[in-house]
Amino acid sequence: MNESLNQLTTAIKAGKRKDARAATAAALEAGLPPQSVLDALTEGMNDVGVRFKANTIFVPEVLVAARAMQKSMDLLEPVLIASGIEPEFSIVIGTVEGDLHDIGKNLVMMMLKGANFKVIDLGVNVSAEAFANAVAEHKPDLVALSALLTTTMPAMESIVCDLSRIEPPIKIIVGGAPITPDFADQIGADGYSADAASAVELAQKLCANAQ
Amino acid sequence: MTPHERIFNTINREPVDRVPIDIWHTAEVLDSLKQYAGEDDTLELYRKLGIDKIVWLLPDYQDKRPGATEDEGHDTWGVPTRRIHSGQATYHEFGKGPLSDYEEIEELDEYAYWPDPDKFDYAAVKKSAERARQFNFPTLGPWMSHFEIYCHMRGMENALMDVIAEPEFLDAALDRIENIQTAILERYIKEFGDQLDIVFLADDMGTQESQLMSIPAYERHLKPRLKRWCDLSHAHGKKVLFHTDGAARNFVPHLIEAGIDILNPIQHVCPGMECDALNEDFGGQVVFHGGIENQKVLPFGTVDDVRKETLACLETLGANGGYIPCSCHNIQAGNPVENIIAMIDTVKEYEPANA
Repeated sequence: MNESLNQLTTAIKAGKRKDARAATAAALEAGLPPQSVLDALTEGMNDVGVRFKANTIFVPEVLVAARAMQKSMDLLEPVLIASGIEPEFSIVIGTVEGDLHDIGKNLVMMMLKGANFKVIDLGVNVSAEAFANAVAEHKPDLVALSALLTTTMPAMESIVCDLSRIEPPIKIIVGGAPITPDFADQIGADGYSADAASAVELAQKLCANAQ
Repeated sequence: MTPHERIFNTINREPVDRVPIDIWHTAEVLDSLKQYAGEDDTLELYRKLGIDKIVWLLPDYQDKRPGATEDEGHDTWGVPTRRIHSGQATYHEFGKGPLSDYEEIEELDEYAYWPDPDKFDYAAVKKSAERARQFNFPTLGPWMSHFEIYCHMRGMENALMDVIAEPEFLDAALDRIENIQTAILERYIKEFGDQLDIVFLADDMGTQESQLMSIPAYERHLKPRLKRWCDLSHAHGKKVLFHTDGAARNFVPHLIEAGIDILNPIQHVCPGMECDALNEDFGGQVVFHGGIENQKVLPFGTVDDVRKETLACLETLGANGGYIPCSCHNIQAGNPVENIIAMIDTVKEYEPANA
């Protein structure tokens, strides 16, 4: 493997944004295939996800890794687009109506980007209508709903109910501090995950099954 | 026994006539309890319901920024706040942290809105303390925190990244945050004397599933600061109640080492916070406050679910005494009143097997 690709993976793992940017620039200048640069970046984020799930690193380490990933993507993305390389799967994500909390949702989003998903972020306080419009516009493989407040759990239920009427059917995953697997089942969601790394695994599984 | 005696005998592991019961609630829940009991006065309400309320002593900041409205303003530290209505609940959401864009430590000296410890309304707090004493309720205050305040001022994502990427900046800001509150605590001790019982220190170190930061990061940035506040409180005969939500199991030995007396709120649904194991490992070293599950059981469970949950906490966290039952954090708007009453009554009627 090329030295700059190794350096990129290492920089992502350690959350060193300047190193990540420099390594990406070096790899692209050396004319390496953009897919190989993307793979090196994804390898770094995968490792971050594994260690996060194993509780050997925590939210601060994931955030700096995601920031380093973004610095790399700033350089890489235009090259990927020019080469016609697009993420295989896409996901619409947002925090449900009445809830303005987004750290958990943002963590999931960063991990999904690191796993090479196209992520359409609708932000916070998102209505059922806004989710439905985004599904019509972007035709994603999945929709992900987040909630932090117990008082907004009913809003999550009604959004899942509204989205379940969309044709063709769209798969919905949910998460957030007060959400449990039972609650996810009860409101008719297709999946639940407890943390950001598990959310990526769940999304990958649901997308692969749909193929 | 008076509520004060019941709480302090529990803290000191001396006999009590019954286990005490405290309650944390939002403003909406206080209103619903007042309506239920037909009592408008808050302390009278607690007395009527038999709650051993540990009464908050929180100072109002008098040096208000101009332009505040009912819905928008700034908190004590100059962080913009906005009132949010969510379902039946209202709460304050923080806006962009004033330190968000700072890059150099020197910029911290230029920040114009560090609170002045002399500009709090201590006279009003004194009145609250005196009134709490008339009811024989114990008192708790001020509300003090290191990292939580830093998160508000810096923005939470920035603050968390600083733990890894900007540790010197983080320490420099925490120095200022600490020194200001040390001065406030010193004023409390001087002004209120024996009317102040317990000092409230808080830093949420757990998420719903895991730790908010690594133990080495905690030991570097926060543990010595917590110890300084514990030492100051103890030097004046005050107990320390420390609050951390979430899966904070790995921090507990460090909190005990730093000197906390009471741990709140014991979010036992989080991994590692199981009541029986926590009691087995730490029950002899720290008093537990809280426990009664507040994300599912209290808001969405039946009266019977609440009774079972309350009993389970009493029999695990309280297995060897040293437990003050309370909702695990503020009971939220819309929580059925009958569930709250069931929690209170279950504690009041509880007779320990070994009594």
